[in-house]
Amino acid sequence: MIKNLIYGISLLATSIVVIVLSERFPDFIVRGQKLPGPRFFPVILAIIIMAAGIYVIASQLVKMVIRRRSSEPPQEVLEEDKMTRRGFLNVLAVVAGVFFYIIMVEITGFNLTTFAFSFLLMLMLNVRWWRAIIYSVVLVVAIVLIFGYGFRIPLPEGSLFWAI
Amino acid sequence: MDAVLQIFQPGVLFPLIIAMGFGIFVGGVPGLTATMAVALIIPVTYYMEPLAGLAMVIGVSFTAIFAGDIPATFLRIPGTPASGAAILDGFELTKKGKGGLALTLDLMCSVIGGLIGIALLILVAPPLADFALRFTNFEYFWLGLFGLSMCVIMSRGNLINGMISATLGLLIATIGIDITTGYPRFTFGNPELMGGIGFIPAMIGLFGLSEVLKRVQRGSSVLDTPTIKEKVKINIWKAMPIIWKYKWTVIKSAFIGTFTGALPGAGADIAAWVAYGVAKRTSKESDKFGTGTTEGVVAPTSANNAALGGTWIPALVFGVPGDTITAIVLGAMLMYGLRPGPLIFVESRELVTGIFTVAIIAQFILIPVGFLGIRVYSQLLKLKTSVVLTAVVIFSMIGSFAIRNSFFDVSVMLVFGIIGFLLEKIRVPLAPMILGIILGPMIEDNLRVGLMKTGGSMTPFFQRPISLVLFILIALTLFGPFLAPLVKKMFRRRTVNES
Repeated sequence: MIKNLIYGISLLATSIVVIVLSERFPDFIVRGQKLPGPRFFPVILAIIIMAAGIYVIASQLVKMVIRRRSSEPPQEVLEEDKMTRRGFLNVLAVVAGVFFYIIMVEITGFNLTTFAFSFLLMLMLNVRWWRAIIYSVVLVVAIVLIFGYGFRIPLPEGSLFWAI
Repeated sequence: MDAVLQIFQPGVLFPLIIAMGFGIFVGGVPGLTATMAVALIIPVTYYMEPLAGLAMVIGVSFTAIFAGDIPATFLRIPGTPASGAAILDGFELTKKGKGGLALTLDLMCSVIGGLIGIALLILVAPPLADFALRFTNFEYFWLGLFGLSMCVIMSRGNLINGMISATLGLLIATIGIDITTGYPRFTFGNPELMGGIGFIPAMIGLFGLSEVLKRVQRGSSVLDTPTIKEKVKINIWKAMPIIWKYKWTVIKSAFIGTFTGALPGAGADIAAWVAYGVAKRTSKESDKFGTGTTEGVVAPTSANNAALGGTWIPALVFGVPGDTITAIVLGAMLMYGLRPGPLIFVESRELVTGIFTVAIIAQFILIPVGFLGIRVYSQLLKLKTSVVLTAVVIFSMIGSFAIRNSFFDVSVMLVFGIIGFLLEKIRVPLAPMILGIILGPMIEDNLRVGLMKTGGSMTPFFQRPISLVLFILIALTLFGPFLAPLVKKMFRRRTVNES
């Protein structure tokens, strides 16, 4: 219920931001005639999103009122949507892991950072430490072989090692 | 002939075989879709010749769809959404100790279905392209919207959420330099955003990372997958008489699959369910469906691979994808500097012949690769899900990085992964968003160029016959579900009054 309200408000906020930002875009005038310029399409889309946001908020409010009057029990959450406490930590671990990976990889290099990321994430997700080491080494070697040597993608070596 | 022979060069054939092996791996892991397999292979193809790159994409898609049936048959978990219908009788056969037979039938029918789908693609696409040459900006604008509207309606989740997802996708596509005026939109002075949001990192985030987040949120119950204990026996000679017995079901399902796949927005998953439903309704043994009948395996597995051939029809002819896989393929073709649409049959005839040839050869390679996959998979299913998910996150990061050697793209992938995860929590389908990002420039450009031609008037957008037909189709697609009950009610009231 609340998450749908937040969804509706986010849509409304997005549309307002788009309209405000689009106002700064210049007009497109050719031989004195004003033609659809850079703001034309984003503003149309923002209006559609705004209407959708209002619809989502209104329909949620109506549902909340009806449910309160009829004292219906709240809808059950589907099995695949259930987030356990441990699951929440897992989600945080993946997101934070990727975030720190992006920051660290150019400093500590691809091999070390990817190994550390893989090892720590597997530990977090209940893999035994010695298995996590083996799988992480295999993964790093496979990626270096496929992407680094096979497709010649310059995997970062890390500024830390350059300095040394 | 040269176009056909070029497929047998090591530079094309070798990547095709590698990609098919990769497709078996990704498609067979529950939760990792064929779309994700294609999304992950695209960065690898970036530096290749277009035909070699497309060969990899074609190889991955066909094998991933088949491979999705492996865990569906063994574990009752579809490897890809297209394997949903294959669960019903496939798993029942496994329970009877006939999992090997079910997968042998599955593989052979996937090959036959795939070949029929490609034959129809070769027959239908060129004449349709001749017709599409008459299209102008007005038709292309409506066609883009039609593709988007079909995707909205076919996506799981409600219609409004589908529309919102598509509109957000179109909005994301406006980020970057405006092609007509050269003005940077929503870039906030960031040079990395000038070229727009890369559709590949966005797509890897939406389909790859968000799926990982969805699965890890459920804690250890999902992360420790069950293993299979059955010893897998593969026997082609036992399967062939069964396929011969149900030959008409195979052919009928392949035709259904191809035509369902050709509808923009409908893919292999819907095709498999439709074929299963039709086979059940028309079978002499319909009461046995769902209890472990081989006919129930033959129908959906012929249809899901045939659908792939079908999805290429609108993608190649009109530049409008038939499903999310071809949506990604379209993005990749643009990345290679190709312009999908009717002109591709004139300008890049050799490439089109190459695509057709690759698709046919891929079917024959699918037989050994598929059997190998079944064998290897019975071992791989013993790996913990958590190990596989970690590998997916790493491949998602490297895949996003590899496109432009930029970690900004990895950040884009992360942001879209979180967005996808949150949106799926409120039942917003993700496919329309990715389609919106891909079709956005086509829709906006054709709308604006069309308006420039008419001096700002929308009337010509409705005056040309094909435009009008497309507009009516869009209206029926989007508003049909709302109008149908009203029309039914009106008719019912009238018949009651008359009687």
